[in-house]
Amino acid sequence: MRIPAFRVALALIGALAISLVLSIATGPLALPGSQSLLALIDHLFDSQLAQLQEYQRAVIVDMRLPRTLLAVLTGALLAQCGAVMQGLFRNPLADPGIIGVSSGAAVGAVLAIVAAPAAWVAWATPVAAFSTGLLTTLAVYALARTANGTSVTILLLAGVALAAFAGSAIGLMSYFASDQDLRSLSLWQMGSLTSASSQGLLLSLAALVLTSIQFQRRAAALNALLLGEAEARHLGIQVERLKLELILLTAVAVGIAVANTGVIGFVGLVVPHIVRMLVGPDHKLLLPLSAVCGALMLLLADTLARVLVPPAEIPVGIITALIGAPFFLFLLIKQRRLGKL
Amino acid sequence: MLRIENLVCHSDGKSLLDIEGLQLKGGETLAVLGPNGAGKSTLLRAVSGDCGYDGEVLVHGRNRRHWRSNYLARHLGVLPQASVLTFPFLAHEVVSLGAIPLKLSQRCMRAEIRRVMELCDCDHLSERHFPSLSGGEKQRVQLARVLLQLSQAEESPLLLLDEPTSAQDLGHQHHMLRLTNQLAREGYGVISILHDLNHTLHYCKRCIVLENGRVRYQGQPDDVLVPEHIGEIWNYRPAYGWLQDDRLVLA
Repeated sequence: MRIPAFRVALALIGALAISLVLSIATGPLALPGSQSLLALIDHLFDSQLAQLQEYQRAVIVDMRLPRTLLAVLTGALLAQCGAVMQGLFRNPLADPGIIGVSSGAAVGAVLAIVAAPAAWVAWATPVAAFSTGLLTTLAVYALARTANGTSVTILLLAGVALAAFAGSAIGLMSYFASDQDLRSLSLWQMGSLTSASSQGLLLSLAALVLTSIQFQRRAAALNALLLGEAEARHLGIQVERLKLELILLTAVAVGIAVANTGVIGFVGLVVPHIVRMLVGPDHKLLLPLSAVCGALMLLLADTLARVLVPPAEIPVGIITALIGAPFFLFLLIKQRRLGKL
Repeated sequence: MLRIENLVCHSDGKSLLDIEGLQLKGGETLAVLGPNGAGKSTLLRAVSGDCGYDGEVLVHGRNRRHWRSNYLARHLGVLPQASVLTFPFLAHEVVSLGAIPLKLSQRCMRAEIRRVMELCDCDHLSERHFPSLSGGEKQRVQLARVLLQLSQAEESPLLLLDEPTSAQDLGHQHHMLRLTNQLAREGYGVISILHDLNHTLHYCKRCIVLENGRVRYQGQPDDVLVPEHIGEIWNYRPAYGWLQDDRLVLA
Protein backbone atom coordinates (compact mmCIF):
# COMPACT_ATOMS: atom_id res chain seq x y z
CA MET A 1 0.00 0.00 0.00
CA ARG A 2 1.60 3.25 -1.12
CA ILE A 3 0.71 6.59 0.43
CA PRO A 4 1.27 9.80 -1.57
CA ALA A 5 4.67 11.22 -0.69
CA PHE A 6 3.46 14.71 0.19
CA ARG A 7 1.05 13.29 2.76
CA VAL A 8 3.82 11.24 4.32
CA ALA A 9 6.09 14.30 4.31
CA LEU A 10 3.42 16.46 5.95
CA ALA A 11 2.70 13.84 8.61
CA LEU A 12 6.39 13.34 9.38
CA ILE A 13 7.15 17.05 9.58
CA GLY A 14 4.10 17.63 11.80
CA ALA A 15 5.13 14.79 14.08
CA LEU A 16 8.68 16.12 14.17
CA ALA A 17 7.47 19.58 15.20
CA ILE A 18 5.37 18.11 18.02
CA SER A 19 8.29 15.96 19.15
CA LEU A 20 10.59 18.98 19.19
CA VAL A 21 8.26 20.75 21.61
CA LEU A 22 7.89 17.57 23.64
CA SER A 23 11.65 17.11 23.82
CA ILE A 24 12.25 20.69 24.95
CA ALA A 25 9.48 20.54 27.54
CA THR A 26 10.21 17.18 29.16
CA GLY A 27 12.99 16.00 31.40
CA PRO A 28 13.78 15.07 34.99
CA LEU A 29 13.25 18.71 36.00
CA ALA A 30 9.51 19.44 35.61
CA LEU A 31 8.95 22.73 33.81
CA PRO A 32 5.70 23.98 32.24
CA GLY A 33 5.75 23.41 28.47
CA SER A 34 4.61 26.94 27.59
CA GLN A 35 7.32 28.50 29.75
CA SER A 36 9.93 26.22 28.18
CA LEU A 37 8.98 27.44 24.72
CA LEU A 38 8.94 31.07 25.84
CA ALA A 39 12.45 30.60 27.23
CA LEU A 40 13.52 29.38 23.80
CA ILE A 41 11.95 32.41 22.13
CA ASP A 42 13.71 34.64 24.65
CA HIS A 43 16.98 32.97 23.78
CA LEU A 44 16.44 33.47 20.05
CA PHE A 45 15.10 37.04 20.10
CA ASP A 46 16.62 38.38 23.32
CA SER A 47 13.15 39.03 24.79
CA GLN A 48 11.95 38.57 28.39
CA LEU A 49 8.73 36.59 28.01
CA ALA A 50 9.37 33.54 30.16
CA GLN A 51 8.95 33.71 33.91
CA LEU A 52 11.63 31.22 34.86
CA GLN A 53 14.49 31.13 37.27
CA GLU A 54 17.97 31.48 35.79
CA TYR A 55 18.82 27.79 36.47
CA GLN A 56 15.54 26.71 34.84
CA ARG A 57 16.35 28.83 31.82
CA ALA A 58 19.80 27.24 31.67
CA VAL A 59 18.28 23.75 31.68
CA ILE A 60 16.18 24.65 28.63
CA VAL A 61 18.71 26.60 26.62
CA ASP A 62 22.02 24.99 27.55
CA MET A 63 20.99 21.41 28.13
CA ARG A 64 17.73 20.43 26.42
CA LEU A 65 18.09 22.54 23.28
CA PRO A 66 21.53 21.31 22.14
CA ARG A 67 20.57 17.77 22.98
CA THR A 68 17.33 18.05 20.99
CA LEU A 69 19.18 19.49 18.02
CA LEU A 70 21.84 16.78 18.18
CA ALA A 71 19.14 14.11 18.22
CA VAL A 72 17.52 15.63 15.12
CA LEU A 73 20.78 15.99 13.20
CA THR A 74 22.19 12.60 14.18
CA GLY A 75 18.93 10.78 13.46
CA ALA A 76 18.71 12.40 10.04
CA LEU A 77 22.35 11.58 9.22
CA LEU A 78 22.11 7.95 10.31
CA ALA A 79 18.80 7.25 8.57
CA GLN A 80 19.87 8.86 5.31
CA CYS A 81 23.17 6.99 5.28
CA GLY A 82 21.28 3.78 6.01
CA ALA A 83 19.06 4.38 2.99
CA VAL A 84 22.10 5.05 0.79
CA MET A 85 23.96 1.95 1.98
CA GLN A 86 20.91 -0.26 1.43
CA GLY A 87 20.74 1.05 -2.12
CA LEU A 88 24.46 0.72 -2.70
CA PHE A 89 24.54 -2.89 -1.52
CA ARG A 90 21.14 -3.64 -3.05
CA ASN A 91 20.31 -5.20 0.28
CA PRO A 92 17.52 -3.83 2.47
CA LEU A 93 19.30 -5.28 5.49
CA ALA A 94 22.47 -3.18 5.04
CA ASP A 95 23.35 -0.53 7.59
CA PRO A 96 26.09 2.11 7.89
CA GLY A 97 27.77 -0.08 10.47
CA ILE A 98 28.19 -2.84 7.94
CA ILE A 99 30.83 -1.04 5.90
CA GLY A 100 32.97 -0.70 9.01
CA VAL A 101 32.55 2.96 9.99
CA SER A 102 30.86 2.33 13.34
CA SER A 103 33.32 -0.30 14.51
CA GLY A 104 36.31 1.62 13.17
CA ALA A 105 35.09 4.82 14.78
CA ALA A 106 34.57 3.00 18.07
CA VAL A 107 38.21 1.85 18.03
CA GLY A 108 39.42 5.41 17.59
CA ALA A 109 37.18 6.74 20.34
CA VAL A 110 38.18 4.01 22.78
CA LEU A 111 41.84 4.62 21.99
CA ALA A 112 41.35 8.32 22.74
CA ILE A 113 39.46 7.65 25.97
CA VAL A 114 42.08 5.20 27.23
CA ALA A 115 45.31 6.68 25.91
CA ALA A 116 44.85 10.45 25.44
CA PRO A 117 45.84 12.75 28.34
CA ALA A 118 42.80 13.73 30.40
CA ALA A 119 42.80 17.32 29.12
CA TRP A 120 42.63 16.16 25.49
CA VAL A 121 39.90 13.51 25.78
CA ALA A 122 37.01 15.91 25.13
CA TRP A 123 38.08 16.77 21.60
CA ALA A 124 40.41 13.84 20.91
CA THR A 125 37.51 11.35 21.11
CA PRO A 126 35.40 12.72 18.24
CA VAL A 127 38.43 13.43 16.07
CA ALA A 128 39.86 9.96 16.59
CA ALA A 129 36.46 8.32 16.04
CA PHE A 130 35.93 10.15 12.79
CA SER A 131 39.45 9.47 11.47
CA THR A 132 39.56 5.76 12.24
CA GLY A 133 36.03 5.33 10.94
CA LEU A 134 37.03 6.85 7.63
CA LEU A 135 40.28 4.87 7.50
CA THR A 136 38.43 1.62 8.20
CA THR A 137 35.94 2.33 5.45
CA LEU A 138 38.66 3.08 2.94
CA ALA A 139 40.44 -0.12 3.97
CA VAL A 140 37.27 -2.17 3.44
CA TYR A 141 36.73 -0.51 0.10
CA ALA A 142 40.34 -1.14 -1.00
CA LEU A 143 40.02 -4.80 0.00
CA ALA A 144 36.80 -5.19 -1.96
CA ARG A 145 38.17 -3.62 -5.13
CA THR A 146 38.90 -6.05 -7.91
CA ALA A 147 39.86 -5.67 -11.56
CA ASN A 148 36.20 -5.93 -12.51
CA GLY A 149 34.97 -3.37 -9.99
CA THR A 150 34.08 -3.67 -6.34
CA SER A 151 32.55 -6.88 -5.18
CA VAL A 152 29.64 -6.33 -2.85
CA THR A 153 30.17 -9.77 -1.32
CA ILE A 154 33.79 -9.04 -0.44
CA LEU A 155 32.81 -5.58 0.77
CA LEU A 156 30.30 -7.08 3.19
CA LEU A 157 32.63 -9.87 4.33
CA ALA A 158 35.50 -7.43 4.83
CA GLY A 159 33.15 -5.24 6.87
CA VAL A 160 32.22 -8.21 9.04
CA ALA A 161 35.87 -9.24 9.52
CA LEU A 162 36.97 -5.70 10.40
CA ALA A 163 34.07 -5.31 12.81
CA ALA A 164 35.20 -8.48 14.60
CA PHE A 165 38.78 -7.19 14.65
CA ALA A 166 37.63 -3.83 15.99
CA GLY A 167 35.55 -5.62 18.64
CA SER A 168 38.57 -7.53 19.93
CA ALA A 169 40.74 -4.39 19.85
CA ILE A 170 38.15 -2.57 21.96
CA GLY A 171 37.95 -5.58 24.30
CA LEU A 172 41.72 -5.56 24.73
CA MET A 173 41.83 -1.84 25.45
CA SER A 174 38.91 -2.09 27.88
CA TYR A 175 40.82 -4.82 29.72
CA PHE A 176 43.65 -2.38 30.47
CA ALA A 177 41.47 0.68 31.02
CA SER A 178 41.09 2.32 34.41
CA ASP A 179 37.75 1.98 36.16
CA GLN A 180 36.72 5.52 35.33
CA ASP A 181 37.73 5.20 31.66
CA LEU A 182 35.84 1.94 31.50
CA ARG A 183 32.61 3.65 32.54
CA SER A 184 32.82 6.50 30.02
CA LEU A 185 33.89 3.94 27.45
CA SER A 186 30.93 1.65 27.93
CA LEU A 187 28.57 4.65 28.06
CA TRP A 188 29.93 5.93 24.77
CA GLN A 189 29.56 2.49 23.22
CA MET A 190 25.89 2.43 24.22
CA GLY A 191 25.28 5.67 22.37
CA SER A 192 24.27 8.82 24.17
CA LEU A 193 23.26 12.35 23.22
CA THR A 194 24.44 13.97 26.44
CA SER A 195 27.71 15.30 25.03
CA ALA A 196 26.14 17.83 22.65
CA SER A 197 28.71 20.59 22.14
CA SER A 198 28.19 23.58 19.88
CA GLN A 199 31.10 22.47 17.66
CA GLY A 200 29.64 18.99 17.47
CA LEU A 201 26.29 20.48 16.45
CA LEU A 202 27.87 22.66 13.78
CA LEU A 203 29.85 19.72 12.40
CA SER A 204 26.69 17.57 12.26
CA LEU A 205 24.73 20.34 10.58
CA ALA A 206 27.45 20.84 7.97
CA ALA A 207 27.62 17.08 7.35
CA LEU A 208 23.83 16.84 7.01
CA VAL A 209 23.62 19.73 4.54
CA LEU A 210 26.55 18.40 2.49
CA THR A 211 25.40 14.78 2.35
CA SER A 212 21.73 15.64 1.77
CA ILE A 213 22.62 17.70 -1.31
CA GLN A 214 25.15 15.20 -2.63
CA PHE A 215 22.95 12.17 -2.02
CA GLN A 216 19.94 13.85 -3.63
CA ARG A 217 21.99 14.59 -6.75
CA ARG A 218 22.77 10.89 -6.96
CA ALA A 219 19.23 9.67 -6.24
CA ALA A 220 18.48 8.65 -9.84
CA ALA A 221 21.83 6.86 -10.10
CA LEU A 222 21.04 5.00 -6.87
CA ASN A 223 17.71 3.91 -8.37
CA ALA A 224 19.58 2.59 -11.42
CA LEU A 225 22.03 0.80 -9.15
CA LEU A 226 19.13 -1.21 -7.70
CA LEU A 227 18.76 -2.79 -11.15
CA GLY A 228 22.29 -4.17 -10.84
CA GLU A 229 25.73 -2.71 -11.46
CA ALA A 230 25.95 -3.76 -15.10
CA GLU A 231 22.46 -2.41 -15.79
CA ALA A 232 23.38 0.90 -14.13
CA ARG A 233 26.50 1.07 -16.29
CA HIS A 234 24.41 0.44 -19.40
CA LEU A 235 22.25 3.39 -18.35
CA GLY A 236 25.31 5.61 -18.61
CA ILE A 237 26.22 5.77 -14.93
CA GLN A 238 29.87 5.66 -13.91
CA VAL A 239 29.32 2.99 -11.33
CA GLU A 240 32.79 2.74 -9.81
CA ARG A 241 32.99 6.46 -9.23
CA LEU A 242 29.47 6.57 -7.85
CA LYS A 243 30.20 3.81 -5.35
CA LEU A 244 33.41 5.47 -4.16
CA GLU A 245 31.64 8.82 -3.73
CA LEU A 246 28.76 7.25 -1.83
CA ILE A 247 31.09 5.34 0.48
CA LEU A 248 33.17 8.44 1.22
CA LEU A 249 30.10 10.59 1.89
CA THR A 250 28.63 7.93 4.14
CA ALA A 251 31.90 7.52 6.01
CA VAL A 252 32.10 11.24 6.67
CA ALA A 253 28.48 11.51 7.80
CA VAL A 254 28.40 8.40 9.97
CA GLY A 255 31.88 9.17 11.31
CA ILE A 256 30.71 12.55 12.54
CA ALA A 257 27.49 11.10 13.95
CA VAL A 258 29.33 8.34 15.79
CA ALA A 259 31.98 10.75 17.05
CA ASN A 260 29.27 12.92 18.62
CA THR A 261 27.06 10.27 20.09
CA GLY A 262 28.80 6.90 20.10
CA VAL A 263 27.21 3.89 18.47
CA ILE A 264 23.46 4.34 17.97
CA GLY A 265 22.18 1.34 16.09
CA PHE A 266 19.02 0.47 14.18
CA VAL A 267 18.07 4.01 13.14
CA GLY A 268 19.91 3.54 9.83
CA LEU A 269 18.46 0.08 9.46
CA VAL A 270 14.80 0.48 10.41
CA VAL A 271 13.92 3.99 9.27
CA PRO A 272 14.52 3.48 5.52
CA HIS A 273 12.41 0.30 5.82
CA ILE A 274 9.47 2.21 7.23
CA VAL A 275 9.74 4.97 4.62
CA ARG A 276 10.09 2.45 1.80
CA MET A 277 6.91 0.70 2.93
CA LEU A 278 5.08 4.03 2.86
CA VAL A 279 6.29 5.64 -0.38
CA GLY A 280 8.19 2.94 -2.28
CA PRO A 281 11.90 2.57 -3.04
CA ASP A 282 12.45 5.68 -5.23
CA HIS A 283 15.51 7.36 -3.70
CA LYS A 284 14.34 10.84 -4.72
CA LEU A 285 11.63 10.47 -2.04
CA LEU A 286 13.28 7.87 0.16
CA LEU A 287 16.37 9.93 1.03
CA PRO A 288 14.75 13.18 2.28
CA LEU A 289 11.86 11.38 3.98
CA SER A 290 14.28 8.99 5.70
CA ALA A 291 16.17 12.00 7.04
CA VAL A 292 12.99 13.49 8.54
CA CYS A 293 11.80 10.13 9.85
CA GLY A 294 15.24 9.37 11.34
CA ALA A 295 15.26 12.71 13.12
CA LEU A 296 11.79 12.01 14.49
CA MET A 297 12.67 8.51 15.65
CA LEU A 298 15.88 9.43 17.45
CA LEU A 299 14.22 12.44 19.05
CA LEU A 300 11.37 10.29 20.39
CA ALA A 301 13.83 7.64 21.59
CA ASP A 302 15.87 10.27 23.41
CA THR A 303 12.79 11.82 25.03
CA LEU A 304 11.80 8.36 26.17
CA ALA A 305 15.32 7.80 27.52
CA ARG A 306 14.98 10.89 29.70
CA VAL A 307 11.53 10.18 31.17
CA LEU A 308 11.52 6.40 31.72
CA VAL A 309 13.47 6.25 34.99
CA PRO A 310 13.90 9.84 36.28
CA PRO A 311 16.19 11.30 37.36
CA ALA A 312 18.45 8.71 35.68
CA GLU A 313 18.84 8.64 31.89
CA ILE A 314 19.09 5.51 29.80
CA PRO A 315 21.65 5.78 26.96
CA VAL A 316 19.60 6.39 23.82
CA GLY A 317 21.41 3.60 21.91
CA ILE A 318 19.81 1.11 24.30
CA ILE A 319 16.35 2.53 23.59
CA THR A 320 16.80 2.43 19.81
CA ALA A 321 18.05 -1.14 20.04
CA LEU A 322 15.23 -2.15 22.40
CA ILE A 323 12.61 -0.77 20.01
CA GLY A 324 14.55 -1.30 16.77
CA ALA A 325 15.60 -4.91 17.15
CA PRO A 326 12.12 -6.41 17.73
CA PHE A 327 10.69 -4.16 15.03
CA PHE A 328 13.35 -5.36 12.66
CA LEU A 329 12.63 -8.98 13.51
CA PHE A 330 8.96 -8.29 12.87
CA LEU A 331 9.90 -6.90 9.44
CA LEU A 332 11.99 -9.96 8.72
CA ILE A 333 9.18 -12.35 9.64
CA LYS A 334 6.68 -10.35 7.60
CA GLN A 335 8.95 -10.30 4.57
CA ARG A 336 9.66 -14.00 4.90
CA ARG A 337 5.94 -14.71 4.96
CA LEU A 338 5.54 -12.69 1.79
CA GLY A 339 8.39 -14.67 0.27
CA LYS A 340 10.38 -11.52 -0.38
CA LEU A 341 13.47 -12.61 1.46
CA MET B 1 26.64 0.48 -36.96
CA LEU B 2 28.66 -2.08 -35.01
CA ARG B 3 32.10 -3.20 -36.11
CA ILE B 4 34.28 -5.55 -34.11
CA GLU B 5 37.94 -6.02 -34.97
CA ASN B 6 40.37 -8.47 -33.39
CA LEU B 7 38.33 -8.71 -30.21
CA VAL B 8 40.08 -10.79 -27.55
CA CYS B 9 38.89 -11.43 -23.99
CA HIS B 10 40.92 -13.20 -21.35
CA SER B 11 40.17 -14.38 -17.86
CA ASP B 12 43.02 -15.71 -15.71
CA GLY B 13 45.20 -16.28 -18.79
CA LYS B 14 42.50 -18.36 -20.46
CA SER B 15 41.17 -17.04 -23.73
CA LEU B 16 37.39 -16.65 -23.62
CA LEU B 17 36.82 -14.90 -26.90
CA ASP B 18 38.83 -14.32 -30.04
CA ILE B 19 36.90 -12.73 -32.90
CA GLU B 20 38.72 -11.42 -35.94
CA GLY B 21 35.93 -9.37 -37.35
CA LEU B 22 32.17 -8.94 -37.11
CA GLN B 23 29.85 -6.30 -38.52
CA LEU B 24 26.25 -5.41 -37.99
CA LYS B 25 24.21 -2.88 -39.93
CA GLY B 26 21.12 -1.03 -38.72
CA GLY B 27 18.03 -3.06 -39.58
CA GLU B 28 19.78 -6.39 -39.18
CA THR B 29 18.91 -9.15 -36.74
CA LEU B 30 21.88 -11.29 -35.79
CA ALA B 31 21.55 -14.48 -33.76
CA VAL B 32 24.51 -15.61 -31.68
CA LEU B 33 24.50 -19.39 -31.34
CA GLY B 34 26.78 -21.96 -29.82
CA PRO B 35 27.06 -24.57 -27.09
CA ASN B 36 27.33 -23.62 -23.41
CA GLY B 37 30.59 -21.84 -22.63
CA ALA B 38 31.26 -20.96 -26.28
CA GLY B 39 31.61 -17.26 -25.46
CA LYS B 40 28.16 -15.95 -26.43
CA SER B 41 27.61 -13.99 -23.22
CA THR B 42 31.23 -12.85 -23.20
CA LEU B 43 30.72 -11.38 -26.67
CA LEU B 44 27.70 -9.42 -25.44
CA ARG B 45 29.54 -8.34 -22.31
CA ALA B 46 32.52 -7.09 -24.31
CA VAL B 47 30.29 -5.07 -26.63
CA SER B 48 28.36 -3.62 -23.69
CA GLY B 49 31.55 -2.81 -21.79
CA ASP B 50 31.03 -5.19 -18.88
CA CYS B 51 34.34 -6.98 -19.28
CA GLY B 52 37.81 -5.95 -20.28
CA TYR B 53 38.93 -6.69 -23.83
CA ASP B 54 41.69 -6.05 -26.34
CA GLY B 55 40.82 -4.95 -29.84
CA GLU B 56 38.26 -2.58 -31.27
CA VAL B 57 34.55 -2.32 -30.68
CA LEU B 58 33.23 0.49 -32.87
CA VAL B 59 29.69 1.78 -32.49
CA HIS B 60 28.72 4.00 -35.42
CA GLY B 61 32.39 4.16 -36.40
CA ARG B 62 33.57 5.37 -33.02
CA ASN B 63 35.35 3.34 -30.37
CA ARG B 64 32.83 2.58 -27.64
CA ARG B 65 35.30 3.79 -25.02
CA HIS B 66 35.37 7.24 -26.63
CA TRP B 67 31.61 7.77 -26.37
CA ARG B 68 30.21 9.93 -23.60
CA SER B 69 28.58 7.44 -21.25
CA ASN B 70 25.19 9.15 -21.33
CA TYR B 71 25.22 9.38 -25.10
CA LEU B 72 26.28 5.77 -25.56
CA ALA B 73 23.46 4.70 -23.22
CA ARG B 74 20.96 6.25 -25.64
CA HIS B 75 22.33 4.13 -28.47
CA LEU B 76 23.27 0.85 -26.85
CA GLY B 77 20.77 -1.09 -24.76
CA VAL B 78 21.22 -4.45 -23.07
CA LEU B 79 18.50 -6.83 -21.92
CA PRO B 80 19.96 -9.07 -19.22
CA GLN B 81 18.92 -12.70 -18.97
CA ALA B 82 17.49 -12.26 -15.48
CA SER B 83 16.95 -9.35 -13.14
CA VAL B 84 18.47 -8.93 -9.68
CA LEU B 85 16.06 -6.17 -8.69
CA THR B 86 14.44 -7.09 -5.36
CA PHE B 87 13.26 -3.66 -4.19
CA PRO B 88 9.48 -3.15 -4.40
CA PHE B 89 9.31 -0.85 -7.43
CA LEU B 90 6.09 -0.95 -9.43
CA ALA B 91 6.54 -2.25 -12.97
CA HIS B 92 6.05 1.17 -14.58
CA GLU B 93 8.61 2.65 -12.20
CA VAL B 94 11.14 0.07 -13.38
CA VAL B 95 10.42 1.08 -16.97
CA SER B 96 10.86 4.75 -16.05
CA LEU B 97 14.45 4.02 -14.96
CA GLY B 98 15.19 3.69 -18.67
CA ALA B 99 14.76 7.47 -18.91
CA ILE B 100 17.79 8.17 -16.71
CA PRO B 101 20.10 9.01 -19.65
CA LEU B 102 17.30 10.87 -21.49
CA LYS B 103 15.83 14.33 -21.38
CA LEU B 104 12.07 13.88 -21.22
CA SER B 105 9.28 15.95 -19.77
CA GLN B 106 7.01 14.23 -17.25
CA ARG B 107 4.15 14.12 -19.73
CA CYS B 108 6.20 12.75 -22.62
CA MET B 109 7.65 10.20 -20.27
CA ARG B 110 4.26 8.89 -19.19
CA ALA B 111 3.18 8.50 -22.81
CA GLU B 112 6.47 6.85 -23.77
CA ILE B 113 6.27 4.44 -20.85
CA ARG B 114 2.78 3.40 -21.94
CA ARG B 115 3.94 2.96 -25.53
CA VAL B 116 6.95 0.73 -24.75
CA MET B 117 4.97 -1.30 -22.20
CA GLU B 118 2.31 -1.95 -24.81
CA LEU B 119 5.00 -2.96 -27.31
CA CYS B 120 6.35 -5.49 -24.84
CA ASP B 121 2.88 -6.69 -23.85
CA CYS B 122 3.35 -5.74 -20.20
CA ASP B 123 1.09 -2.67 -19.91
CA HIS B 124 -1.40 -4.71 -17.88
CA LEU B 125 1.36 -5.29 -15.27
CA SER B 126 2.00 -1.57 -14.85
CA GLU B 127 0.79 -1.24 -11.25
CA ARG B 128 2.12 -4.60 -10.04
CA HIS B 129 5.17 -4.87 -7.78
CA PHE B 130 8.11 -5.89 -9.93
CA PRO B 131 9.51 -8.51 -7.50
CA SER B 132 6.14 -10.30 -7.51
CA LEU B 133 6.16 -10.84 -11.30
CA SER B 134 7.12 -14.12 -12.96
CA GLY B 135 10.48 -14.46 -14.71
CA GLY B 136 9.00 -13.91 -18.14
CA GLU B 137 6.94 -10.90 -17.04
CA LYS B 138 10.02 -9.37 -15.41
CA GLN B 139 11.96 -9.83 -18.62
CA ARG B 140 9.29 -8.07 -20.68
CA VAL B 141 9.19 -5.16 -18.22
CA GLN B 142 12.99 -4.94 -18.44
CA LEU B 143 12.79 -4.95 -22.25
CA ALA B 144 10.32 -2.06 -22.05
CA ARG B 145 12.84 -0.23 -19.87
CA VAL B 146 15.60 -0.82 -22.43
CA LEU B 147 13.36 0.34 -25.29
CA LEU B 148 12.57 3.55 -23.38
CA GLN B 149 16.31 4.04 -22.93
CA LEU B 150 16.81 3.77 -26.70
CA SER B 151 13.77 5.88 -27.62
CA GLN B 152 15.74 9.10 -28.14
CA ALA B 153 18.60 7.66 -30.20
CA GLU B 154 19.85 10.03 -32.88
CA GLU B 155 21.41 7.25 -34.94
CA SER B 156 20.11 3.72 -35.24
CA PRO B 157 20.34 2.09 -31.81
CA LEU B 158 21.95 -1.24 -31.03
CA LEU B 159 19.97 -3.69 -28.92
CA LEU B 160 21.69 -6.64 -27.23
CA LEU B 161 19.43 -9.41 -25.98
CA ASP B 162 20.72 -12.19 -23.75
CA GLU B 163 18.37 -15.12 -24.32
CA PRO B 164 15.22 -13.02 -24.76
CA THR B 165 13.03 -16.09 -25.12
CA SER B 166 14.37 -18.31 -22.34
CA ALA B 167 11.87 -17.17 -19.69
CA GLN B 168 8.89 -16.64 -22.01
CA ASP B 169 5.94 -18.89 -22.69
CA LEU B 170 5.35 -20.10 -26.25
CA GLY B 171 3.17 -17.17 -27.27
CA HIS B 172 5.49 -14.56 -25.80
CA GLN B 173 8.58 -16.21 -27.32
CA HIS B 174 7.15 -15.45 -30.73
CA HIS B 175 5.93 -12.05 -29.57
CA MET B 176 9.46 -11.14 -28.49
CA LEU B 177 10.98 -12.34 -31.76
CA ARG B 178 8.36 -10.55 -33.89
CA LEU B 179 9.07 -7.42 -31.84
CA THR B 180 12.80 -7.65 -32.57
CA ASN B 181 12.00 -7.88 -36.29
CA GLN B 182 9.68 -4.89 -36.04
CA LEU B 183 12.43 -2.92 -34.28
CA ALA B 184 14.90 -3.95 -36.97
CA ARG B 185 12.51 -2.57 -39.60
CA GLU B 186 12.62 0.73 -37.69
CA GLY B 187 16.40 0.71 -38.04
CA TYR B 188 17.52 -1.02 -34.85
CA GLY B 189 20.47 -3.39 -35.01
CA VAL B 190 19.56 -6.41 -32.89
CA ILE B 191 21.92 -9.07 -31.56
CA SER B 192 20.26 -11.93 -29.68
CA ILE B 193 21.72 -14.93 -27.97
CA LEU B 194 19.37 -17.75 -28.91
CA HIS B 195 19.24 -21.45 -28.19
CA ASP B 196 16.29 -22.40 -30.36
CA LEU B 197 17.53 -23.00 -33.90
CA ASN B 198 14.01 -22.81 -35.33
CA HIS B 199 13.67 -19.30 -33.91
CA THR B 200 16.92 -18.43 -35.61
CA LEU B 201 15.75 -19.91 -38.91
CA HIS B 202 12.44 -18.09 -38.85
CA TYR B 203 13.27 -14.72 -37.33
CA CYS B 204 16.91 -13.82 -37.95
CA LYS B 205 18.60 -12.57 -41.08
CA ARG B 206 22.05 -13.67 -40.06
CA CYS B 207 23.64 -15.87 -37.44
CA ILE B 208 27.05 -16.67 -36.10
CA VAL B 209 27.96 -19.91 -34.39
CA LEU B 210 30.62 -19.64 -31.70
CA GLU B 211 32.77 -22.49 -30.50
CA ASN B 212 35.55 -22.09 -27.91
CA GLY B 213 35.37 -18.33 -28.28
CA ARG B 214 35.85 -18.30 -32.04
CA VAL B 215 33.40 -17.79 -34.88
CA ARG B 216 32.97 -21.25 -36.39
CA TYR B 217 30.28 -20.44 -38.94
CA GLN B 218 28.49 -17.34 -40.00
CA GLY B 219 25.98 -16.40 -42.65
CA GLN B 220 22.31 -16.83 -43.36
CA PRO B 221 20.63 -19.28 -40.98
CA ASP B 222 19.47 -21.51 -43.88
CA ASP B 223 23.08 -21.96 -44.99
CA VAL B 224 24.66 -22.27 -41.57
CA LEU B 225 22.20 -24.52 -39.78
CA VAL B 226 22.58 -27.62 -41.91
CA PRO B 227 22.52 -31.01 -40.17
CA GLU B 228 26.28 -31.61 -40.57
CA HIS B 229 27.18 -28.35 -38.84
CA ILE B 230 24.63 -28.90 -36.08
CA GLY B 231 25.94 -32.39 -35.44
CA GLU B 232 29.49 -31.08 -35.32
CA ILE B 233 28.75 -28.25 -32.89
CA TRP B 234 26.08 -29.66 -30.59
CA ASN B 235 26.65 -33.40 -30.99
CA TYR B 236 23.06 -33.83 -31.96
CA ARG B 237 21.63 -34.84 -35.31
CA PRO B 238 18.26 -33.19 -35.80
CA ALA B 239 15.50 -34.49 -38.01
CA TYR B 240 14.42 -31.81 -40.42
CA GLY B 241 11.60 -31.08 -42.80
CA TRP B 242 9.81 -28.30 -44.59
CA LEU B 243 6.56 -26.60 -43.75
CA GLN B 244 3.97 -25.90 -46.45
CA ASP B 245 5.36 -22.40 -46.89
CA ASP B 246 8.83 -23.86 -47.53
CA ARG B 247 10.22 -22.92 -44.16
CA LEU B 248 12.83 -25.30 -42.79
CA VAL B 249 12.04 -26.91 -39.42
CA LEU B 250 14.45 -28.80 -37.18
CA ALA B 251 13.36 -31.28 -34.55
